[in-house]
Amino acid sequence: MVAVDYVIVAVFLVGIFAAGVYFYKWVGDADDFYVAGRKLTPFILAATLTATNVNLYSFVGQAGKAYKNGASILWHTWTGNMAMVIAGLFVMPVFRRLRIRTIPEFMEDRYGVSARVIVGLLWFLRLTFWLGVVVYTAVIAATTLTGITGVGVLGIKIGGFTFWALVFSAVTVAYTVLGGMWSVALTDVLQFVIMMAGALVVLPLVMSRVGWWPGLVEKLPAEHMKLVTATGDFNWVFTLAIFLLGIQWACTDQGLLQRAFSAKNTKTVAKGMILAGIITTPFALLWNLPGLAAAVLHPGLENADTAIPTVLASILPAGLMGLIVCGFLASQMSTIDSNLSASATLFVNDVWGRLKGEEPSSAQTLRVVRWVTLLAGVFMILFSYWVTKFEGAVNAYLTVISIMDMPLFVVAVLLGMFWKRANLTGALVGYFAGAVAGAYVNFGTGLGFNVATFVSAGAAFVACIAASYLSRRSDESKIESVWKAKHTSQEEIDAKDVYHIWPRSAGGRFSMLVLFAGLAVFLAGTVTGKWDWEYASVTAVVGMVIFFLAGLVRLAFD
Amino acid sequence: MHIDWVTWSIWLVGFVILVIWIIVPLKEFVAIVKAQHGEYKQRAAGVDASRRAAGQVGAAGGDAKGGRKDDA
Repeated sequence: MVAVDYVIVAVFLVGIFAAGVYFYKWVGDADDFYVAGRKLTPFILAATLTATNVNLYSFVGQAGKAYKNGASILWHTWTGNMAMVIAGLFVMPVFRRLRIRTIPEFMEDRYGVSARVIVGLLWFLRLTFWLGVVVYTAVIAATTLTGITGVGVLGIKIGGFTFWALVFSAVTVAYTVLGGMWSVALTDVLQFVIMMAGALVVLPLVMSRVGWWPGLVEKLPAEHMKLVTATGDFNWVFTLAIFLLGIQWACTDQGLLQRAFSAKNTKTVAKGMILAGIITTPFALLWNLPGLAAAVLHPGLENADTAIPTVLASILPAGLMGLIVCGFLASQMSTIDSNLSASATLFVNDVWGRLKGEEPSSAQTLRVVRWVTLLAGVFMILFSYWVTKFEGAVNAYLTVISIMDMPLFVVAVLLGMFWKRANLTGALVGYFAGAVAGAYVNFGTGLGFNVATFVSAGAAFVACIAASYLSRRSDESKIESVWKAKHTSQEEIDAKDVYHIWPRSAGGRFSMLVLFAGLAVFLAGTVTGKWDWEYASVTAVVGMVIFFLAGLVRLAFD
Repeated sequence: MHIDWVTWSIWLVGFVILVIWIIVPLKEFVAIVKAQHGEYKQRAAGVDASRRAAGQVGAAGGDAKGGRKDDA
């Protein structure tokens, strides 16, 4: 980077900070801070959702995996999008009818207060770890692009990692603490535009260097271009594991849920989730194609996460480099601000609020949520150092979600919503059994996150069932509210905006059958990858497309 | 001249989404700013009127919600 690039980046950081701080005066109470007074409009909502999901983890982490392991990493995003359709059709409408704001809140509705407090505390840590991954990817990108590996301040030598972690976090934490969701959502829109513009500049520049698509296919080994493979860390088992983790993510992720719950009714939740899932699918190519191209342009890099920054440093002229760095920064900041806000909401709503006993005043809540946002920022920076111990950003994230997220999905969604006998003891025993089993497989056996995902889910499932049978039944009246939420509510009938989880009309039912057929084709394509079947990748992609189209058609019916 | 349909199709989808995402949220943002500005002025006027009624005109004080000084 040269002087003009630094000026562009500095102007961008000051501009975003000023824009974020502007909304400080709009925050009068805790509701303004949490959910922007529930006044966000559809496109601003959609932009903040997409900007939160697409970040440097995608542009650096996933592109790094495409560089090292090949095109199969695309399933990370694609199965997540399929999972959004599943969650939108079957799970989110139930949550929306229950009018919850967080998953720990659902845990209280279903199991009891202690489940809410424990899960709230654990998920505060889990969300700040994810932010640590995001900061790590930003630091890797900045160090590679600028070449700055350390600075001296007042005679004290600060390492490159610490310097960049502090630079990237300070601005985002400051405006999130001051402006809450208003700052988060409206700077997200600006950041989304800058990020997309940057990606659109990079794609043709990089592809032209490798001879466009035909050149890329010709220069890379055939195995690298396969979407479903028989061997390697990102093989067919990875596709199945990441699909399962995707469903878990779409059903329990606080960042996603907080936005989905602000939708005006049940039908809008389902529509929003399905459309967001489908629209984001082509996006994945914007960062994975440059990752594949980097394997041709700069083979043999020691850290795959440096692939995209290395390519950019070698092809971008002065001025343009500054703009692309702004795009990268924008994608990172939009994720940090949203998740800082989500983790603070989770902690204040589910831990502090429940432990305090008496109802806090609005001013008191606002003060605490600002301090907790700051605390989450500190945790985020500390966790970013831990990420360096893993084999890249993707491995770090997948390791943690296979340990912490899968057991929660099993006890909250799978058993919590479909098995009445599950109780508080079962939920807590199941959650911790799944987490311990996942941690053991990951760190004790070295089998990795693919196997750990299935083991932690299986352990949580068995332990929750066993512990529930060995302890007293839950209060039936408490469970009833959850079961009632599976059916159309009186509110929907009164508003003449009815949504049936299983449609009543013939067209709706037919589209659901086609959706399941598409899912079966996708799974068949993935599993046949085990035997290296020639058409495995094509079959899986065709299945995904059928699945998406059927989801889209389903929206037209009841 | 050879055109790479794969790359440019992906690029075009991204470009269309970008254009839509510049125009529509900008309109929505302007509407929000107008509404918020009106609401803020109304709130400030309300606080001012209540102070006048209580004989506190001119006294510096925080607003009812967050305890911050009124900076409208």
